[in-house]
Amino acid sequence: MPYPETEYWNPITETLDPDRLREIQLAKFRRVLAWVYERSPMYRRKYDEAGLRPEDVRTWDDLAKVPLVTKDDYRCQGTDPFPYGDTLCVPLEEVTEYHQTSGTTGTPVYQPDTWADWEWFSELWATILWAQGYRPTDRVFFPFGYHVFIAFWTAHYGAERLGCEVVPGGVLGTRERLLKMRELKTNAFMATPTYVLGMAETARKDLGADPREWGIRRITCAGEPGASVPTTKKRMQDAWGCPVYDHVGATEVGAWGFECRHQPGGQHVIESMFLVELLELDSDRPVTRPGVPGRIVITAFDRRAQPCVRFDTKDVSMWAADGCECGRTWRILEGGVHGRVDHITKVKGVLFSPVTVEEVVRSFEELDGEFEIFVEKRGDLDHITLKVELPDGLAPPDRDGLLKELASRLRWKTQLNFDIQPQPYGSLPRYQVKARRFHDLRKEGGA
Amino acid sequence: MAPDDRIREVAEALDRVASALRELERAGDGIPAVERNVRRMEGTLWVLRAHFEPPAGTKTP
Ligand SMILES: [Zn+2]
Repeated sequence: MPYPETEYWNPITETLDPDRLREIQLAKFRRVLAWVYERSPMYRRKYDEAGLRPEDVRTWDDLAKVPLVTKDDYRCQGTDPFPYGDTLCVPLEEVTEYHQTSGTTGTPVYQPDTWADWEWFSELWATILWAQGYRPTDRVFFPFGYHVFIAFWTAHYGAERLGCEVVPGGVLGTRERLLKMRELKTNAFMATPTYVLGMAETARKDLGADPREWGIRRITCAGEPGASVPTTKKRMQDAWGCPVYDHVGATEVGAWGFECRHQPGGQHVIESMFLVELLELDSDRPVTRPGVPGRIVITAFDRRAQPCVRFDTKDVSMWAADGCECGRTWRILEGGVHGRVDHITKVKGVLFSPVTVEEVVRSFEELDGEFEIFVEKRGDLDHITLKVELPDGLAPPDRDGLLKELASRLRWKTQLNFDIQPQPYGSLPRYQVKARRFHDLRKEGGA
Repeated sequence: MAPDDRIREVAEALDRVASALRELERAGDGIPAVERNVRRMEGTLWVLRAHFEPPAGTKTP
């Protein structure tokens, strides 16, 4: 295997002295701040309104002067130069790629990229995949049609960039994808956690095969936080008999974090290419202490067509106290992304995160791991319902015991009582991307 | 070689590649096959510059 001894894609930037890294980050931040101010009417308006000039930012303390950007700021899109409008930083003729967000939380964001951006994005993926042990001898399968969504396109080109042989598996159904993987002896693949589990289930049930015998050596997840939820990760690793790694990215941001092959219980931030800040959940004050949850705010230093500067992702995480065996000096977000700020909500006065429910449900071997949560008002009180699928043919005493144990573990983990509604196997929605298992009907107007 | 020397050596080599690309672009002025391919090579170069120029302390456009 080429480079077996080389842990890092770029040994220089991945092990930089932290003080030096901070200096470089500040220099890169100032550069991209000037770039967007000069070129994007959206950023210029925002900064002018705040009375900020790029040259006002000289030290880390000055960062707080720079207004945050949210998805709402991209609403100015749809005008000239069509369709990016005031967010575009380069002449339209330099744009070579179009992608968009899925729009699950509102209007989709249009994301242009230049060819240099495209190279940059796949470079990020090469960094990630190398850290997860991918090497030029690997044959990697992508069980997705990539469509207008950026993640698997860039992962595809990242794998190709580091020298893997890439097999695209779009259009096919799950069964045909599995047969193709077996036929070609692919030894790695990338998918959402839900689909990783779904594929293993199809292999066992429809093909009568044990996917652990297929020689898959590693799996990388994208699209949902599951691979950082310990019980979901364990389920996937048990099903395929290999390590499963997480990654984190967003269309507007780039692929900005990853779990290395040492699985440190969190995700390294690619700090040479991004600035990740954590801000308090209910204010804009920075969180620097490990173990304290904060909103993730990101700046992409080297994207050109439409970089994000202090983009409020509304995702929540916390800094880890410890480093990692791999020797990277890039900091770690413990537990990866814990969920959305707007999903971490008060139910009956208790702070509640749907990820905790996922962790509990997936700790039961007997359950298939599918679930849906509904929070609603009944009178003055919050009512929380959990739908789970039970296996077929479960004897009534076993079923009652299982439900009782589930309720008890949920109460222990969340301090809340759940109204558990068992569902027949296979009746809950299956997702390939962007699973939507949490429904706060108090916010969704009862819809 | 000390890491700092190594970074500088890479950054300086990148500079030479950038000049060579500009030269190629001039030579192929008006020939789409040259101009567009130079653009693509500049994309790859951009990535290397993003890695190495800031630690080397050299200026990136
Ligand atoms: Zn590590």
